[in-house]
Amino acid sequence: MTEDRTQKTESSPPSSEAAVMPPAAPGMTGPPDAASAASTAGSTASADAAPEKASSAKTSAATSPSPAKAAPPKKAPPPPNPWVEAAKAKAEELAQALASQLPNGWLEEVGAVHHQPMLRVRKQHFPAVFRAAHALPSWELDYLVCYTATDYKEHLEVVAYVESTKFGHMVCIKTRTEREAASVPSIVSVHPGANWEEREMFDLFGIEFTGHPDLRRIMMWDEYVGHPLRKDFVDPSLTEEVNRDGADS
Amino acid sequence: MALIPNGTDREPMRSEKGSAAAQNSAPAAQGHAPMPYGGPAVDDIRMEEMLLNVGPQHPSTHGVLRLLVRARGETIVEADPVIGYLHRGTEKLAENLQYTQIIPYTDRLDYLASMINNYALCHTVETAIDLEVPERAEHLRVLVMEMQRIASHLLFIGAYLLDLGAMSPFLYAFQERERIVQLFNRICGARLTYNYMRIGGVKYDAPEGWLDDVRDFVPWMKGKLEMYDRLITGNEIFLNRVRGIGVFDTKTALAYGISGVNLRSTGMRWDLRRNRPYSIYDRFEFDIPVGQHGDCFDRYYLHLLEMEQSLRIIEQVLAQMPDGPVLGKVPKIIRVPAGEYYCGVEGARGELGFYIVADGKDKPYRLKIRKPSFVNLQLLPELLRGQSLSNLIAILGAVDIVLGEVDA
Repeated sequence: MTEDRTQKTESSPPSSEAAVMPPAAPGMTGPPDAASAASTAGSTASADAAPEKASSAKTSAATSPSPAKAAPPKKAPPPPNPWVEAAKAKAEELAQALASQLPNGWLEEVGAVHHQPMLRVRKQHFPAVFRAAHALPSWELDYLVCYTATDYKEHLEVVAYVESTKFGHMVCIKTRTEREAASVPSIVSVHPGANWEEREMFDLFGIEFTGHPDLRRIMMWDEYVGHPLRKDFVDPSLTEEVNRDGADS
Repeated sequence: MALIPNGTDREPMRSEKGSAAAQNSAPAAQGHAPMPYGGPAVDDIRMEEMLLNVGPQHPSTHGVLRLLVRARGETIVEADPVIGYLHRGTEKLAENLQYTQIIPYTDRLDYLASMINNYALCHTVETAIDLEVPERAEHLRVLVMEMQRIASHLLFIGAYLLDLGAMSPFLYAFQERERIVQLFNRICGARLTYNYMRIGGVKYDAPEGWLDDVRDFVPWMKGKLEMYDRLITGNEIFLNRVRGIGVFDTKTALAYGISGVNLRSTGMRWDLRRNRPYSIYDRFEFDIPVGQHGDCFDRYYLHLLEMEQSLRIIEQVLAQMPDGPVLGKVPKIIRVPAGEYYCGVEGARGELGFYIVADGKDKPYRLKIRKPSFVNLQLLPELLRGQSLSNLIAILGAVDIVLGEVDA
């Protein structure tokens, strides 16, 4: 079980982002291979893992010790975590179902986060993806479970988990935006419950949600300057003596 | 005329030119930025629009919620909840804390259901590191979580009735809750912020005789629930006050991401203990009561019914409580492998979820709390629009928010 775990860590999120980034242009080509590899078996899966490793080593020279160390055990468990593979296959299925309703180039990455299917989409199509996924007959992703953002220092990532209350699927839909003048189209028109979550992201991350009906700060007061959940945020009250007294009172 | 001498035609309490207060408030109403959602069509009757501030110190807002209400006569045109007074930045603080150190911070989110908050975090981290939790620990967890649900629902009923003007149910509720709090105090040494769970189990095993006392508590509490039912449910004043107000349907609820009792009151059978089973809930028999009308009365009554189901679960847990350790084999420093993890549990107020972005270190790279109160509160402006001002408190109370969680 623990071996599966280590395997998963390499094949899924932040570290793998660099690894999965290259096939951004073809988009669909990388992951379908992975899905078919899972069905055909172990030998192709390990072959599939090798280039991924190479690309990650290429992109992240600074963290060279960990990929080097991770290399031998990566080949050892031939079929990767079945949960992750199943999630990837499901993501693939959803992507194909959605493709007909969305313009070309909407998809940037298909994969899995932990055991959930994940689609990363181009941000201008973000609301359209939710709308299409909501209407898709055999998916009906109608319930916005968790909606938030993360600051990855080079970019901001907006993450939404949507669930189908009818079929029980849970899917993670992501998009990325640059940190300077960050903006993402709002999904309030599809999921009204996204309203306050988007206000919170606007407040704490400084992401402008275009098309939001009422974009104001929600946690901090209106005059507040800065976006506290960004990684480069420094609380002014910790650096300025004058403010510290004020903050404590 | 009793107070004014006969022959005087003045009536001093009557203002000739409309009340001064109304005139003073008019410019403020005009000067205020237009409310985001617009209002209903202006009636033919000319009425002053008034801005009314409810809170943040209003006793029935259950904390520091401020409601900016725009009313035309007695009708609410627009209500805008203003939150953030209790914002402590838990998510930011967590980025500089080890996973175990975050647990006490979760106590302070929904401080009426700390045990469930503890569990939600531990469960997410355990899922992430694939940690096996000992059987006895799981049973103790479910036990305290269900007791916590009862305590929280009790407080809801007490406080809700107090909001509506009934004093005694509040006192009764506190009396019953006290017994649970005392039991918690004995098992973990705290009455409100328990910090009882750990990643991989719980901190303390049940002390001598504790389980027997819980066993005694169950039938006693069942009797109390019957009493509540007799005392409150059939009360005509209460029924007239809460029936048919604050109504919404399943479609609206799902669109707004509503969860918990609020969602179930619309008739949707949705409980994460069943729909996304976690812990050992799949071993127990319990029903998921649902409402029919989605009104405030249904929400009140569901709280009562859910307590009954929680008692059922407690009985079953006690019957099959195994022996053994209460804390699994956990590394000294817990490092979560890089990745993103989301786990939701059925909290006392809805889906409580933790989303963790880990980078392989002992601290989360990012931690997001999916706060049920925060999400549920979004529906409030919709529910209040067009309602009479006197229904404000009844509707707000039934949404059941805890500001510690809304603001986090």
